[in-house]
Amino acid sequence: MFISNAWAEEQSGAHSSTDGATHTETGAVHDAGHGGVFPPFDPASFASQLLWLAITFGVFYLLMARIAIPRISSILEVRRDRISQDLDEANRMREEADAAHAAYEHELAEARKNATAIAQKANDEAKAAAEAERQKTEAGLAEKLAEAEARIAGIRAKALGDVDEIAAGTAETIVKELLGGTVTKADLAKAVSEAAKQGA
Amino acid sequence: MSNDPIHQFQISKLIPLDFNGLDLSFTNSSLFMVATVTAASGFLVWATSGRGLVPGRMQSIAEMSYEFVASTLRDAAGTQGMKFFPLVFSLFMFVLVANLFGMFPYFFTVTSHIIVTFALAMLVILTVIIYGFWKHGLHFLGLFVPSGVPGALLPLVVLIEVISFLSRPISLSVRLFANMLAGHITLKVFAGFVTSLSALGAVGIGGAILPLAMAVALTGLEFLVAFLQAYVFAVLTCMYLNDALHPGH
Amino acid sequence: MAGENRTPEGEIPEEELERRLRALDDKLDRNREIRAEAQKSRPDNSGFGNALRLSTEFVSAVLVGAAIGWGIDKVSGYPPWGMIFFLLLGFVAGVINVMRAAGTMADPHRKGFEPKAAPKKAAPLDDEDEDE
Repeated sequence: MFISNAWAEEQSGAHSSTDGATHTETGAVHDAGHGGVFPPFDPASFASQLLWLAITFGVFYLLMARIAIPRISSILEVRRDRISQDLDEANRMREEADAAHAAYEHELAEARKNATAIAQKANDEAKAAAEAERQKTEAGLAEKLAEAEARIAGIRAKALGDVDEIAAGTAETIVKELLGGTVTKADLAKAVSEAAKQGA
Repeated sequence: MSNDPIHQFQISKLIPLDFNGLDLSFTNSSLFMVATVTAASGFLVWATSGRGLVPGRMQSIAEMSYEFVASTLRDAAGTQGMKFFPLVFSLFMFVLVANLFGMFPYFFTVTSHIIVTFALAMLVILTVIIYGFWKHGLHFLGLFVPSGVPGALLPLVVLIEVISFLSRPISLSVRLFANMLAGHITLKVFAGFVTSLSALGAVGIGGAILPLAMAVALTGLEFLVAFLQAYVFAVLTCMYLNDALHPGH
Repeated sequence: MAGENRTPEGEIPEEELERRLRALDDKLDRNREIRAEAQKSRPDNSGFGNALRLSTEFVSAVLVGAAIGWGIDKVSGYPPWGMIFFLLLGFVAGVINVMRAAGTMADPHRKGFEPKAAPKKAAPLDDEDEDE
């Protein structure tokens, strides 16, 4: 690494113009004979380099610490907050959607349950009504039937009574016609009823 | 223009300033320090001026470099180490941009001078020492006393630890300096081969392809080294700062 | 908000929401894993850079030892002994530096760092072996 030895042949003089090169106001680049000192190890430039390094690095540090770093950190923080906020929002919405979905399902089940109940109730009602109707009709028919039977019985009884009278009248006429005598009505009635007893 | 590899490290005064016999001129080195600071801070400030929630490309680069240094520091020194973040970030960006500036032809490489790298390394070590003593008082010296050492060996071990500690600024500075120096010298040497070979006529030009290819490959390597050395400087800084924060073993 | 895949009533169907939330969760987890892995990578893994780093660690320790030795020699009256002693110490410190940097030895200065293939250090007895 110490190439200054290797380049020794290029030097014009050994250490003529190196030490304390402070007052040499050349302002120009040294040509072939750089005095034989390896520039990074040349103490003459140290002070200037240190000073300007201090100045520039100091300025840089201030710029970073005051401007650039706060800016970037705030950008990153805003983004992080925004992301977490958005994530929370998305989660919350997801939960809401879940709740809404569950409610919807619940409602649907309820409605379906209600529907069957209503149908069942309507069915029962219809059946009951039909039953009532039937019973009413039956009752009416039974009534009519009873009434008819009563009339028939009445007519029959009357008819039977008439039969007795007709038989008595006929027997009177026959007796009159055939025997030429008269019979009392009481005797006629007795005979008829006795005949009826025997015959019926 | 000289053709030797050392010429590129020459310090030339641009604005001579004499202060009581002390040479404080504004040199080409100073010029490139200013250029480094301007470019780095200009880029960072400009790229983040939009403060976009969804970053553009430049803002992404700025954010990534921030995150990179922040995670390195947090890994090495914990969350307490973040108070050193401006320092570490400035160091990293300065060294990185200075190294990269040196990659351009005819530009001066600021970090190829030992005094510059030594000054930066001393800045780190002094920060460690001063902060260590300020925060922990004399317990900071517990840094040099590893646990589980038998009493007889203790003085020797402490001395060795002290030497190891003091060697840190040296190694930090020499590493960066040596990498930059070696890289640029090698590059210049191969470039010299190209020119000297191609002066030999047609065969020379054909033969000059090899050093040219080598120079191209070396340039690629040098870019990598520029990043790597800045990174290593930053990582070691973080580790040394961790010692200032947690000196006890 | 995205407007794709809406039912006629303007609502995003449940499955779509589910899918998107799950995709976001996956992406976040993967991102976290990637970042955790990236942080685990050790510095300076390239060969050339590592070699230069280890050599400078060693050389700088020797140099510091030599410097201290030289300084002590100038102050005290026994010329070579300080230099010899501290040069040796510098050598040892250099070796230790290199071993720590290479990962062969545990570095107490590094957070949570463990040597690559070392048994658990239980016994405190022969800790810092000088002539390693």
